[in-house]
Amino acid sequence: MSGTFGEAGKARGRRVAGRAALGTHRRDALTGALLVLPAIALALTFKIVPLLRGIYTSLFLTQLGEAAHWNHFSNYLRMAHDPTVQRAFVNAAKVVATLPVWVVVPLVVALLIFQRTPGWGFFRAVYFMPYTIAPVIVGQVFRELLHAQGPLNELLRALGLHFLALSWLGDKGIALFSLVAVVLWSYFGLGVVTYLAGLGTISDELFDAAALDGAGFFTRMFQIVIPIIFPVMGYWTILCTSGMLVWMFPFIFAMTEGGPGYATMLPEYLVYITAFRFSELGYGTTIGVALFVFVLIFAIFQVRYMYVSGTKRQGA
Amino acid sequence: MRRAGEAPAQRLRRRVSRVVITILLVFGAFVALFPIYYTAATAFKTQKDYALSRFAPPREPTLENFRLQFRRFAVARLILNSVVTTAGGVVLCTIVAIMVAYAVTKVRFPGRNLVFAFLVGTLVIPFPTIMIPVYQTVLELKLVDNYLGLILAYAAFGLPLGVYLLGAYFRGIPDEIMEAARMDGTSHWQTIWRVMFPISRPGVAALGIINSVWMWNDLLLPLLIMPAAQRTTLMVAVTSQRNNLEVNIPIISAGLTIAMIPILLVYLLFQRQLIKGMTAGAVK
Repeated sequence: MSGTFGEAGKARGRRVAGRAALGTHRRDALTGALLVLPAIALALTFKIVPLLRGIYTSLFLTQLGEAAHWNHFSNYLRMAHDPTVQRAFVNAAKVVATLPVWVVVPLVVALLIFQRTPGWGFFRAVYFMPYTIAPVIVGQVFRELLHAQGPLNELLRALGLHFLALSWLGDKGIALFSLVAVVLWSYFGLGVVTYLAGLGTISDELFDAAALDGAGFFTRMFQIVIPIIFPVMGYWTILCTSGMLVWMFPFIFAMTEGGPGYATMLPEYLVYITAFRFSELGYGTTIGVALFVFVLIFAIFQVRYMYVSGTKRQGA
Repeated sequence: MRRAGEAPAQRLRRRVSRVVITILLVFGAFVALFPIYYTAATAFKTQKDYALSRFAPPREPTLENFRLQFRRFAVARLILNSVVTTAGGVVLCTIVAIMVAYAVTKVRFPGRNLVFAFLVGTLVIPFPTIMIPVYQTVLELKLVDNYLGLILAYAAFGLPLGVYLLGAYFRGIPDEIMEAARMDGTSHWQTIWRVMFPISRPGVAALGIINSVWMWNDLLLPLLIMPAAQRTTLMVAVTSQRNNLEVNIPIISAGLTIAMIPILLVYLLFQRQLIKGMTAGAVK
């Protein structure tokens, strides 16, 4: 709060003193515009224009090769009655429901590493390694590992845990969660590093002082650590929310192709096969627009938060 | 960490918790490393060796699987394609993001917060939504099978994170440093590259690592923009081995190993910069 007032005060002072320097202001505006121009051009070309074209396509195209004409929402009406689409979005909602796990698991791992037990530097390096491996590769590796007769079940049987040796990717009830677990394996290292970066800003003195005051482990966690890294948690949550549904694609592509049945069918994969395997560009794009709305509902508040915390000036 | 005058009970508790934490971390490391080990080990096995034991290290390590993959794919060419597009994307994204970060944090112009929000906000547009129109756009720009097409796309998709990370980093650098340089008559452009860039090198390095990882590993953009076999990336080729109905797991594993080694090496080489860069900037 004080930062905002300080900022306003400074700006007012500058405005009074800056009458003579009006030229500088105009030059600053020009400089700023020139500096952000390439970024805006890239964002418009590869994000905004395609988004608008997508919306346009969904409203004006039904069949490939047909001239574009107003289609009376036919793509959207078809989508509303398409059981595959409904299934895909129900699955997407289930995936989003696992968000707390995505936020908490890397946090717990980061906190364990942060205790600086011997060898913590090694663990920090190791935990990021899964993230560096391409999703397509991870997908192919786990397709092998999770196979009903695969190594994981071989191991479980050897340990006498026969009841746990499930058909991880072949069972309709658990395939989606196996998929989420694999994606989490692939991305949790990024979360760990993000959290560790935030934890690194906590001073040792603060920690030691709390320990001397007799604060126990959990008190220290909830009274000191969590409040300090709360912005980091916010940042990571946004990244997961806007990312998790899109990250799934290469894993589905390499592991399940949406099956068994439609158990792992998610909107992003449905867009891909509708457009490129069944050549229904208009309908595929329409499902894509629906996905955009779906993600937007979850992400809009978080992005607003990121904007607020991102434009807040530090140290003012 | 060890303090004088600690009660023995307390010391014991500390030691126990240390052991428990280490056990948990070792288990986690096993989970993180096992699939990597498994793939690499399988790549050096013969079919027979693999059938006999899947977990043990290769009994008689063979390079035959790799030799076969190198014969099947123009691996050198694929690596070149991946290196050019990834490096191009990383460099372009960094330059553009630095310019934005400087403009929105150090230059006073109207709408700078809006520009920041807009660029970060494009993060919520899911790629599948714009996949088909992006392809149409690239087609119209005549950039299909052109390195530049993929490089521009990579830079555009790396921007939200780049602007956010470097914006936070630049905000942490006191204005006085940049104002002092400006007093000396240095232009904005020179200030960016001679003053801000050197100071923010750790942040730039962290962004560079994260960007090179996803760009190297990306599948959909190169699949759309560089479909020609001569121009495609290592990752697209690795994926295609599945469509070729290859069922020999050791041979597939050799392909996967070839594709994962380069970026793993880059990471291990720059691993320290990653944490340092993210700590000093982005997250406070």
